[in-house]
Amino acid sequence: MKNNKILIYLNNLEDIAKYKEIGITNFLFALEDFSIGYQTFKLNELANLDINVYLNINIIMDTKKIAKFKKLINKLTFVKGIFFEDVGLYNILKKTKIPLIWNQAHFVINSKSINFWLERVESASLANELTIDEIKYILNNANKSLIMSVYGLNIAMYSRRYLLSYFNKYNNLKIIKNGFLNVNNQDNSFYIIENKNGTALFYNKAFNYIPYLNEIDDQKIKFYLINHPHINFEIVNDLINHKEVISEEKFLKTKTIYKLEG
Amino acid sequence: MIELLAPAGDIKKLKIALHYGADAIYFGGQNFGLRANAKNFSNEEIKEAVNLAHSLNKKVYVTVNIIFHDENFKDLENYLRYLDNINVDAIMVSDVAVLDICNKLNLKLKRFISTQASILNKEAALFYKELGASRIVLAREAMKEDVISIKKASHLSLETFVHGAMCTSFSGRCILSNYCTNRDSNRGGCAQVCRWNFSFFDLDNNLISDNFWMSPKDLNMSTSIIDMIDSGIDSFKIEGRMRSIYYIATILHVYRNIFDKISTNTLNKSYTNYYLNVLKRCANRETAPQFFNKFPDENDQYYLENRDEVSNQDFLGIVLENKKGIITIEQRNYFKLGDIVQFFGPNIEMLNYKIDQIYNEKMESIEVANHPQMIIKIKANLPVSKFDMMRCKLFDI
Repeated sequence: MKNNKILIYLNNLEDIAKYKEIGITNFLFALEDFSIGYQTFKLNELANLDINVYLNINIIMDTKKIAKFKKLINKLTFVKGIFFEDVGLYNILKKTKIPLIWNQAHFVINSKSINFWLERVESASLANELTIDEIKYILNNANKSLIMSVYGLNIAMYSRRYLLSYFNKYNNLKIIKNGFLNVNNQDNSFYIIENKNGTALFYNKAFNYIPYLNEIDDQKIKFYLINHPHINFEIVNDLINHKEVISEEKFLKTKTIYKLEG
Repeated sequence: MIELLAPAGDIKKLKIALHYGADAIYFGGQNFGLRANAKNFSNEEIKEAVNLAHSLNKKVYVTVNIIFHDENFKDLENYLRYLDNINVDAIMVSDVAVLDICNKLNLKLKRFISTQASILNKEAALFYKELGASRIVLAREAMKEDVISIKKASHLSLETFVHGAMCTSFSGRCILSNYCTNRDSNRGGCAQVCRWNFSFFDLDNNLISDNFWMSPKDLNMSTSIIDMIDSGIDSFKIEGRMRSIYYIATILHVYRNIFDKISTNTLNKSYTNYYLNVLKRCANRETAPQFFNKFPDENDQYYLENRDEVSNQDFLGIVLENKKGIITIEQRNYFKLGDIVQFFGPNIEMLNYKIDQIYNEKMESIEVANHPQMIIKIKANLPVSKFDMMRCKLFDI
């Protein structure tokens, strides 16, 4: 995993200098008003950074929101690419020269849909719910290089509702906008965060696919994405240097069940 | 034309739904549809369903709406060709690969974009229109202004859910089941994890509550139908392929009557209140209007300690025959002499009746009907017919 192919989903502009020192210059940002789950930034905070800026617009847009986004388009000339969740965004950006990356949550999981999109966009960002064999199959059959998440927390649910505010208001509790939900009687925990666009739940154990990258053809990868909402330089440095990082392999080795038997 | 669209978990439920006034039915085949673990329809049953529906001038839509892994494409082309050949009216799709395959095979099947695609804006609708979609099943989160905007820009047929369970998440954006049960939400394995009980901690791991709930009340848009029609909705969809025949019959009966009364301008407050009461009674979870006219708030959520969950014993029997003044009924819940019951059906809004005699199959007089699915008979001159339902007396209009 060469550092110039690493894409960091950044939550702290102050870390940029440290990343640049080790040759990492590609960064993904959540845009204020148009993202959920991550630290967001305003366009003018990103416009003059000496780095490659990618935007992740990971919300589903209603009528007002997409109209608001249209007004930003002519300010996006410095952006190296936009990851999009809502296909409406593709429809309004397809005639611009901005490279687009299909990033429709849990849909990016088969080679047929990926190749459909690769006829229209620059790349696609693989969903996390794939086994290593599925990832290899898709990479071998995709018509362009793809983006693979290699470390981070996976979004497990995105709601338009304000789930924390509702619960706290109903129970007359102080409104807090993030925390953890533990499934009672299970060992599963989710990081929950709410903003104006709704609520996101992340599975709270980081996945780390870096130890498996020797099985992956680097030529098929456009970027290795690190997308932990609480990422910091020290963790990235440990990952790059193959130091042990607490993580798990939830889907990489275990297929999810399609139909129950019997 | 306004369409009332009903679910069918199997061929028996499909017949009930058609009988109770559905204009169209949706269901899944043995593969490729969400609700992977429901009974679903065999290929032969799909054909039977199409023939039956078409004989009544009604339509059949088949869900092909999983999000595919590569291994799931096996046999898809043959299946799509089969659905096309037997004249299924449309398929409901969420994965662009399926649209692409339909286009390449040049199938005449109409393509409806499933609510799994979560469409809330006209640009997304136009994208799918260009791919050959003729209908959008709107995201459950669509507000009125979204509906109007999408209709005006796309002129596509618009379908929306009006009754039944709601996802907490945007549809297609939840894999809680994948994590908690190893079942794939987006291939029909949803285990409704969002209805589970959680403990909520702040970022410093202090316990805020060990009784956190996040799921919404069920959907009930029965009081907004006129407004929805005016906004451009063409098809009104009821959720519930796993529901009972009584549930399907009750919900359809109410909505059919609402639509018919709207068309004759006879829907008044008494009827509206009556329908609302019946709908509330039928569900075992609280219901509420959600999105469209009002963004949900904390009162539209479901909190277990306060819920009034009804274990519904209202369904007393289904009419099998009415011949020469003898009504034959298949029992579903206990009833006895002296009970006041209500019949309802496609031709009966609601008919109260006091049980003054009950006979068994041998026409021997009995006092109670207490065995599930026992056949009982009543001597009465009532205008009831096959598939009419008998329930406890609930409300009067």
